[in-house]
Amino acid sequence: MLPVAAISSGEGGAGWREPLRILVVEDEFLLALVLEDDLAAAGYTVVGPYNSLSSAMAASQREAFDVAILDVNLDGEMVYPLADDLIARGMRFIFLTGYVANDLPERFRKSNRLPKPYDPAALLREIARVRSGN
Amino acid sequence: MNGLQVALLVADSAVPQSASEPGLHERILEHLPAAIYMTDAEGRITFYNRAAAELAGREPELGKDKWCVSWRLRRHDGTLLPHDECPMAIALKSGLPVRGEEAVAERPDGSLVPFLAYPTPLFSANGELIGAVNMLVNVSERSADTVMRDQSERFDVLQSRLAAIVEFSNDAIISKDLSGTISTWNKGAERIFGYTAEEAIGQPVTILIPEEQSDEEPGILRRIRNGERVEHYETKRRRKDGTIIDVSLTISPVRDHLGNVIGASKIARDVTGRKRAEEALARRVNEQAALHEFTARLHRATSLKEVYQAGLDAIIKALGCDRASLLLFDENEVMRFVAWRGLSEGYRMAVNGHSPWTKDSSDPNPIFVDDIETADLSDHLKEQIRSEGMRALGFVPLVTKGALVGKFMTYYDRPHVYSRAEADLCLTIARQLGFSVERLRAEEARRRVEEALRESEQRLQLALTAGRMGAWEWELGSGRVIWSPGLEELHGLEPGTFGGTFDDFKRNIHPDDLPMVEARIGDALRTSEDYHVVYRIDHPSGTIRWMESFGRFNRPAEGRSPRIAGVCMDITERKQTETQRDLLVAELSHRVKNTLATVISIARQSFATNPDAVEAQRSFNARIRALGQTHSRLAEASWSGVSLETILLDELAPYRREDQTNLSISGPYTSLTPKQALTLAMAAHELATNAAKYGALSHRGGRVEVEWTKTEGQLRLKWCETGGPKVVAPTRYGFGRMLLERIVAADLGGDVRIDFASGGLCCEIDMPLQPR
Repeated sequence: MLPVAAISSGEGGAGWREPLRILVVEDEFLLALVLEDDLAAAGYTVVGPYNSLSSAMAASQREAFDVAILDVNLDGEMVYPLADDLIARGMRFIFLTGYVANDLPERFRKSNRLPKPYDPAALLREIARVRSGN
Repeated sequence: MNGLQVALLVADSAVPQSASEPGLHERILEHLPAAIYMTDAEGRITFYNRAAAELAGREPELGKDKWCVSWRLRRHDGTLLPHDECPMAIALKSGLPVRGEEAVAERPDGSLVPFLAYPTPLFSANGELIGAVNMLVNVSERSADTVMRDQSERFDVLQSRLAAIVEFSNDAIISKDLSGTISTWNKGAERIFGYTAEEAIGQPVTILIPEEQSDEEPGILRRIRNGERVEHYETKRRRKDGTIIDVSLTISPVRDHLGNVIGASKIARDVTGRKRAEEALARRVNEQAALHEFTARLHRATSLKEVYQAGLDAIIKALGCDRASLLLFDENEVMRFVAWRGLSEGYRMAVNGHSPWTKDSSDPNPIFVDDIETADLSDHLKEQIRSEGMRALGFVPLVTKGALVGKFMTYYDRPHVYSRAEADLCLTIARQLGFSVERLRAEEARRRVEEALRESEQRLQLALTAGRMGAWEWELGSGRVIWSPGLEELHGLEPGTFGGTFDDFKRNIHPDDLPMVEARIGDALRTSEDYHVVYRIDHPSGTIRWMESFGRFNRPAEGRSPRIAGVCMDITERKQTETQRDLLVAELSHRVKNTLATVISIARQSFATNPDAVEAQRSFNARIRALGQTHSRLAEASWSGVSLETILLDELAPYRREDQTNLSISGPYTSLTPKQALTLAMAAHELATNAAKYGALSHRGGRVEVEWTKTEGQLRLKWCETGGPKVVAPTRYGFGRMLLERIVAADLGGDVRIDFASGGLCCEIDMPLQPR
């Protein structure tokens, strides 16, 4: 597998402690594929990917993870119930979506959000920022 | 003659005093020279004096003779007058005195004594007839000479009086003989006819008779000869100066002492003045009637045309002219005929536009041309008037509100002297006509404006209805809010049921939007600027409707309170459309970005899994083209779906041979969702490129068969290759295979089995057709 630019950063990845666990919710197989590659290359452990709201909700209860990356539109189904749930539980997440802020419900307009198609380096920086709580 | 006074004296005093001093009065009466006698109520003679006995020629028998002291009585004509019909009898029977009744007493000796009797009835204090006293005056002593002289004197007096009457009469008193020669001529005749007595006497009476009346005289003379009178005969006579006068004649025959008609006396009265007055009166009556009718018609008139016709009728009737016309300035300030009587088209064409005044002439005066031949008019105009057969004409200006608006014309076929009265009449008609023209013009203009307003209001209503709009108005002074029926309908109210206050307006506004609406209204009131607000209302149907309202602040006219007026429309549908559009835009954005992410993913996989860079490039390009092709199919169907057969043909058509023997595609019509279509298209692309590179489509005898079935919402598709090169299972798990096996499972919830049989590759796909 050819390395991609972001992989070289190595941030949050290998090292002295358990790798961070990233819950991935993405319905498009090809997109999930790339996301999985990028996260793995950066040393994260990918939980998922899950391609439906129900499977993602179940996984979020079941699996341990540090940060969730959420596609918004899951084949016509919106991921908002899961986002609300994560907020309620104090869990951190990033929307990875083609939607602009105004397309989102008002309560999510200030949530962490990365536009599609994403820059892998930006994704890794965003994960680091979200994890550190800034 | 004082006998009467004496008699009355006797009547007043004798009777009551006769008791106290009997005989005194009787002694006085006895010696009076007048004949006096008295009777009781029955007429029996109770007293007579000496003179009475002398007149009667006898001694009457007291208490026996009745009524009269005379022996016999005769009337003036000698016939016998019975005593009980004598003046005394009449006075006693009637209770009234008789004064100087003439009768003749016949004495027993046959001599006759004419006398005048003055009997007076006598009444007691309580009004009872007690008798009468009579005085008889002997008139036989007056001689025939005396009578003749008296008569002559009386005639002279009469004659002189008559002469004075004749001389100073206002009437002409003329006599003529039977040959018609004038024989007497008074001052009145001189005044009326202009001839002096010297000039007239001896002349034939025909010098006074105009030619037109020349056949009258023989008839008059014939009637006079027959002794007839002609009274109040009205005719015309000619004065010495030739003027014709109206006279009223009374002609009587004059007779000699034998009664033969020897001539005629004629009284002529000049009635010219009266005639003129009568004619003038008739004319005034006619004018007044015409004006009255004119006024009434103007009052009733509802169109300019009616005003014109009433005007022409009034002009012709009141002025008695032969023709008339009415002209008004048109919009180019050219005087044009609007109505006429008796004018030819040629004349109207020729003089149209002619006016003695211009539009801005101030205080124009009427112009009257008594005779065009002597008038100061252009030769051209004269010729036109002449050829129309007219001689006199009047130009009368029509002025309203101080400005000239037109004129009316009067025309006479003969020369005509316009009198002062006619000029005044013209001005009267012109005033009324001008006023009515102005009134009707204003009314017609108002009607046109009203009509235009009505039309524009109808158009507005149509527009409001068609646009689901309503109109509103808010009077700030009274606080009254007026809604059009359309606006009530938008709010789900029956027409006329809106309350009409600002609170009623606020009632239906959604509570979340009310503060914003009030703030906007406040802004509009403060700045007097236009008002525009979009808000929601709670519709009685239980739904929420979106309203958009525009208002404009109307600066009030003096004395009126300010208002805001505007329109309000239901924009719920537009709002819904906007929401849908926003959703579509978001969806499109989402798809585009997902697609780009997909392209990145395909690129990464294409290049990462293929060591041959050129080959990788080709595969990548082909995959992106396939993706683009499927997108086109979906766009053609507005992203509603596309059939499985289309997707398969798109991928396989490039490899089909002309004889079509290398391909077979069969199955029932199956509609795919966009996602199913995109995923299956990618799978088909990988299978087709693999077959073309290594499988059945790379070899002349090779053949691909695609078959599918639909069972209970489940699609089962089979791809089988035959006749191709011997199949060798791949050593490398390439992107294509991964795509095939995993993408269909992940994205479509299906199951893919690939069998690398040596006779040919076989791939089976099982997937649900209903999306998860």
